[in-house]
Amino acid sequence: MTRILEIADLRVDLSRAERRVSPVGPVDLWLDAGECLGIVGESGSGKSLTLKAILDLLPDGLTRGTGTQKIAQGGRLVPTDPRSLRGAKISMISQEPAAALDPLMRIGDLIGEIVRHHSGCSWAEARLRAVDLLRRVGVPDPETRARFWPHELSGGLKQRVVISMALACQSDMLLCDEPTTALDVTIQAQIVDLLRDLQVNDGLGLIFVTHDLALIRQIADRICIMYAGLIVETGPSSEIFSNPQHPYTRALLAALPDIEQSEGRLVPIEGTPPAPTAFPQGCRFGPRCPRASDVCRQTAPALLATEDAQDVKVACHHTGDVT
Amino acid sequence: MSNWLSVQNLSVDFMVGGGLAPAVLRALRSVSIDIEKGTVFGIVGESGCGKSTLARVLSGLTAPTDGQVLLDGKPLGMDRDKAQRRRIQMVFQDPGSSLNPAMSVCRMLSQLLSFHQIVPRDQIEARCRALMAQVNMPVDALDKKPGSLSGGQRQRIAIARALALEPEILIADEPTAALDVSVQASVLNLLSDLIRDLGMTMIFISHDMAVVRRVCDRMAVMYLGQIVETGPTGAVFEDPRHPYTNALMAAVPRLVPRAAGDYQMLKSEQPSPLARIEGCTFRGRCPKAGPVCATLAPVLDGGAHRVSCHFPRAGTNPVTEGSSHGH
Repeated sequence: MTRILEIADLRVDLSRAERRVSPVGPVDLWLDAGECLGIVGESGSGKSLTLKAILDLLPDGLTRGTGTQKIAQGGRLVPTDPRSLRGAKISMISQEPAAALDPLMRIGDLIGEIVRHHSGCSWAEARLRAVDLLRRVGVPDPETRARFWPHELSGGLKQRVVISMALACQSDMLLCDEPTTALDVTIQAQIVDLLRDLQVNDGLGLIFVTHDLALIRQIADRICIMYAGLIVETGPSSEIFSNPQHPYTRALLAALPDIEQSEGRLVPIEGTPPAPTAFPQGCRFGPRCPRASDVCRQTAPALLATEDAQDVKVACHHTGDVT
Repeated sequence: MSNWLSVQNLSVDFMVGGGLAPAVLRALRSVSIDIEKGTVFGIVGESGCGKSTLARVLSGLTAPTDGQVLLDGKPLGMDRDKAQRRRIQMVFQDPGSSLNPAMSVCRMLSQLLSFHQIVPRDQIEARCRALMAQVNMPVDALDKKPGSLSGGQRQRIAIARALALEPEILIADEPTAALDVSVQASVLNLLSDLIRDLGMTMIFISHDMAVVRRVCDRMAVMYLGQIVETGPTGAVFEDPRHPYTNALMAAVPRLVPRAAGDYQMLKSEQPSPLARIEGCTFRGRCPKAGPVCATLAPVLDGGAHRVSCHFPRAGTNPVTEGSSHGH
């Protein structure tokens, strides 16, 4: 597998804090071509900020701190400025596709403009290419739809249009920030199916951020579970779900209603996640963890490979303890 | 089947557009439901299927165009008196916007308790404390305003506010959709406990199938303003008869990936509720649609597990076998 992205020591810092406050990080990430990496966490875990930091699209008041980011170029990984990747090597789709569509341009022109920017072809050719792209992402009757305005499309179709814009950029990587959260479940299935298809057949690398554990189980090859700005557990999706190691991962799965089950009580996680300005010393999940001991309250656990599975990494002092 | 709360042929039309080309949006098309006392009734469907409109009619916030709601055999119209309003309370999706941000929790609750004269004036404070205990909140939360509470805590306050009126029916419209999984679990547990302990009836509206399966005794699946399938929750989940129910269940992501085979992804999207559709409203997306579906609208038929389809999936339950073809 060819590695296309490698990030080490990524941090997101508050710009105007007196001392260093990092809502995210340090986080290490990598992505291979044609792979889907899932990042899961609850609100405030820093999963979206991590994704936005890859393109340095952070909201006001936050800056990208230390860290190196390497991108595959000509078969080698080269350090690259995140801003130069936007709309080229890496594209992004968000929860609200309407935000990415200029309401005053027809769909075909929106896509055509990107095609022209990247290939320098004529408008006539660009429009034809736009129709092809719409067909590729499963928009029915693409010739007609190309003349539609964004507001004439449903949420699912808008999301398909945004995905086709990413394809028009000929990106190697697509960052997906909860792309199906605003969609109905049958439409979500269609979009996930499309992303899978692009990943498998076109070799597109995906980083998929969501709060939905069942959804990430379905789409991701490898996942990172985030809590309070840090990755607490990472590894192949099947491994994490069949044999969760970190107490937080286990607690999340116990709190999740499963469609196959009607019996048994759900187990909520007591307490609330800490604010970035008040991350506890030691393990950040410590105050809510049933297994927390003195060492957890004093030193932060490092993300280390487990003894039984080398590709699974867990940040917990009590990994491997019998529960 | 007892019909303690009975919805009969309820239709709601909204006029939209206005001007030269007004259009009729048919939010509910002749919906009928019977709900037994002390049970939890789930309503599922995608956005725009009319599930929230149904909740609003039940709670008297929207006037029906046709049909009626009966509670205990007596019609429940739009002009409800204080005592009638008390009987049905609602918990909304977003507690951030359904709670007054300028009012402390204590004021919010005591205002309700004194307006509806639930308890004598001197016992109001004690009742507020009791309500806090009922929703597992610390007593000092009474002095706080919604802004300083977390999402899950706010939803508990919204539930306490509904409980303050000692309603017989609680309508929960997507009560956990805005909450994280870890918090959702505690709110769902709380609602289940309250229903069991207080003998309330709950109407639970959600788009989350897994949650509905946990919480509800019976359920209805809605599509474009109509009920397409209804029955005991277990039966609907294990033996979905309507092609839409089947597709809906199949589209839900699972922790244990299911084997391919039965899985049939729906093509295209739900048509606009403004569209005039002859015959079955689902036929445009239906893998089983035949000529009869284009001309004749199917009716909801069967015993305890009813389905509105000309070609329902063969069931394993003999009670409704073969009963959904005729009229």
